[in-house]
Amino acid sequence: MQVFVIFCLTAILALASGAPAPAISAEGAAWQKVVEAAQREGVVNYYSYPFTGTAGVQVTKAFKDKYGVQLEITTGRVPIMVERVRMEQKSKSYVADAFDASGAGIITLKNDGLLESVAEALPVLKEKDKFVRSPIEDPPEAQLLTVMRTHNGFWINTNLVKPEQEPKSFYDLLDPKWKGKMFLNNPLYASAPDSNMMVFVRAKVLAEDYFIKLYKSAALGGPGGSREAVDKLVRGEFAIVGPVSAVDAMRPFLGGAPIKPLDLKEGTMFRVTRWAATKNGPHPNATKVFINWLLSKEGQLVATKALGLDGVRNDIPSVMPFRFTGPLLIETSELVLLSDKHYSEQYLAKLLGLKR
Amino acid sequence: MRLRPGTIMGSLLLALVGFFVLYPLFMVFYGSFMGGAAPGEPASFSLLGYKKAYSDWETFKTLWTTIWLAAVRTLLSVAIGVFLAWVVTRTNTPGKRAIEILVWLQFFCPYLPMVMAWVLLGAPKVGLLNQILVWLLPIKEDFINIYSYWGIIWVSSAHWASVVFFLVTPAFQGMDAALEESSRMCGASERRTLFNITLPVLMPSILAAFVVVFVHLLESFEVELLLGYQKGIVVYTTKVWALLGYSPADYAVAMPLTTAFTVVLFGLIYLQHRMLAGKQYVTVTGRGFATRPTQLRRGRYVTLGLAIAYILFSTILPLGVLVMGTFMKVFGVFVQEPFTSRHWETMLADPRLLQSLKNTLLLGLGAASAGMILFFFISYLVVRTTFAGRKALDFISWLPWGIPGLMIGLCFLWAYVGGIGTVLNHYFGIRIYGTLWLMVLALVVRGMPLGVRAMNGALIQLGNELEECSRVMGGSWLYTIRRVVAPLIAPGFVAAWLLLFSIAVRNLSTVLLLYTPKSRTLSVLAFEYWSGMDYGTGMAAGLILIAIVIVTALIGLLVKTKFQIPSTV
Repeated sequence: MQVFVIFCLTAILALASGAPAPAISAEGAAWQKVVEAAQREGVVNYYSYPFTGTAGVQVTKAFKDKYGVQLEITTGRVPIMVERVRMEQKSKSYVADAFDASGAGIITLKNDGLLESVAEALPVLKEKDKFVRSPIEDPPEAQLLTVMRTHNGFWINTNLVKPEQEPKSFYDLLDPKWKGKMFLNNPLYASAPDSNMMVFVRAKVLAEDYFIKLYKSAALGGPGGSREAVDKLVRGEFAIVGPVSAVDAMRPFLGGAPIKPLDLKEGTMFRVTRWAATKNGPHPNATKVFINWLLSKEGQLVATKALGLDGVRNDIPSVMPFRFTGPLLIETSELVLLSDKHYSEQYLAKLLGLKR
Repeated sequence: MRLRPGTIMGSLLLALVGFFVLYPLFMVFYGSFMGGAAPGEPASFSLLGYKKAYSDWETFKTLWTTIWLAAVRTLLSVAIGVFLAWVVTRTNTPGKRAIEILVWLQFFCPYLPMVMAWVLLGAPKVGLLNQILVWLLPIKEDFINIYSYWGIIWVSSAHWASVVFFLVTPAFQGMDAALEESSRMCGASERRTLFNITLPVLMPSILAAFVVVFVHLLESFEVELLLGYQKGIVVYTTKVWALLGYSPADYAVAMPLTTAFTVVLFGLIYLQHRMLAGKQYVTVTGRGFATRPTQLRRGRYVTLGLAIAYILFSTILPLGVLVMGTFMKVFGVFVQEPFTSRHWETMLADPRLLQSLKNTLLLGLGAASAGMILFFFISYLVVRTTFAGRKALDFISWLPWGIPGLMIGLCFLWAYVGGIGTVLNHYFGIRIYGTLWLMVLALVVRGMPLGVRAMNGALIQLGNELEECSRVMGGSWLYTIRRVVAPLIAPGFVAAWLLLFSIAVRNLSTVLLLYTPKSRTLSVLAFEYWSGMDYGTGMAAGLILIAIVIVTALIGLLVKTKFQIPSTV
């Protein structure tokens, strides 16, 4: 008892002596000013592909609860949004603050000089060891930041493909039994087929000939892209579709649709969702606060849970319900640029004899 | 009737309408010679786009598909719409009022959600109708295939029949029964009276409706995209949409393709003028008149049955599927425990909902009100005066039909984001892009052909003696308009106002390129959910939109009833 009393008195004396509070660093003060300016701006206009619907509402609410800044998400097909940003920039009618995409669209905006870097101002990027790899996709310009990871591959309807029939290899997809039952993204309208082929050919896993055979044996989609393919899969119009983005397929999957991705032994392609600030965005401070939050542990927890995909941090649990046993083939920046060039030249489409 | 103050007013109106219509239209032609440059992008003159567009045989094949598909659907829509209008206004079919209200319901339903409902109903193998039919009958599971020419024809005709009904009903209602009675007194049967008297006398309204529907079907987009494109059924609008969907967008071909429709339009205007030139179609005169219904005897149950069948398959069934879809976990698929209220919760929790609702109502009220006032004066000048520029005014008011809704949005981007918009932005700090004003203007221009034609149809049936009497008795022109003309054309005016309000609030193709987060409407919000594969939530937004237009329609019905001329029997 005596020891306890002495301990308490000692503690009280120590507190009363007024130990100095830790000093706010200059960086912290500067960031605080950015946050205050963001709250005065009050809104971020964000053109996003993955953060739509329910996912968008969840992210919007979490960000607003934290900072009191409204996130205005505008969504649509990436080519349409790319054209919108380009038109706004060229006519100096600046509306969009930020834009995201996983394919070539965001690269074309960068190449046109319509993006700007905010990386230097973000405190979260100092937590280098907390990221799977650096979120800065394009040093030294640092205009593109990686915010999510997603896989891009082939999915099946589990009501139409029994476990014993499930393809285990890419070559199983060429089996004549899938004729009329497989629906593929059209290389005329989507960059995913060119990207998908580029990744596997570069990794020397599959040859171009394989993809020519594959696309000629399947029904091809229209301008609806990945979403059109997933739609048809969910409704049971086709048994296999691909290559589709998990961003699109996870939504119906999380809703209980009888679909799942194929785990093919040659490997699974992974790509990233890239984020960028547009030049002369009307709310620059709110934009910085938003991306800083999105890359923070809290933001990544909200975003990954909303989408059902993995983020870019290694200090949050994985939410993806699938595991792939084959090699994970990552679409690097170099491959994105090469795929973009191929798509703009309609490389795979020409190999298939397709014409717009 | 010669109006000197009208000449000044007419000239001002001609200049204003000319600017609003011709300036964006000029930008279409300008853009078609810019070799693929985007709006606002510097470029030089080039014929490359025309060469690419018109050296391709597929272009002509696409144009032919567009024309014949529109023609077939128009004929079917007019046949159904005129039949329904006759049943409701000129027969003793029981339940006419209910039929009228339910046909109006179809008319006001936004197009996109109804098309998606039909995908759920008629998709091969998995469509609900196919599943029911396979269970009942020994047929294949793709007996009904909505992804076909027939699917496109049915879904479009079901909707546009209600538009025809909407357009011709005022004329059917206002026709004097004495004309039909005279025919019957001379020994003609009901059928002969219908085909030899009723329909020919009402031909101006029917023809006007035919042209309205035909041109709208030429530029129709949602049905063809969702039901036809993936099956290789390509029409003009889906081809342009595909070109704009490339990255980068293929303006080089898209813009020259747009000009093709102007040529078709010139042909339509010429055809309409040739058909109506020199003929008298006055049915509302200075004499009193009655609207006695034709007694069909047992035939009235046949007409009732046909009307119910149309309403069931065009409206009730798709609407029911839509409502069900908003509660399905996975849209259109019956998984384990298939129902949820999550979509409605998401919709109602979306902070964008209230702003979208407000924007939608403002857009509808603005476009319909500003539009109808403008269209009335345009139509009056064209139909009731000898103003020298009336033919030019009539012609200009047709022109927006030559451009699909999607391209009108693009025209306005070129015209008011680039062009004059750049001047206003740089020198006066006035930014038009993304404002509701720009969207109202675009929708007024878009609705101009329809609004003016609707007013023409109403005004053309007024005999000159009505206004002459008023002027002879000392009434001013404004007094005459207010006390004589307006009450007589009120049903047509209200019908057209409601039509334009409905078109404005549910419009998607025109506003899709013009909106920004601040000016987002409910149709855009629904589309964003839809394109993000949140179908249930998108349908919930669509149902809210349907509710708005239905409430408006019911209010309109009440107002319309108040203005109706009572029957003497």
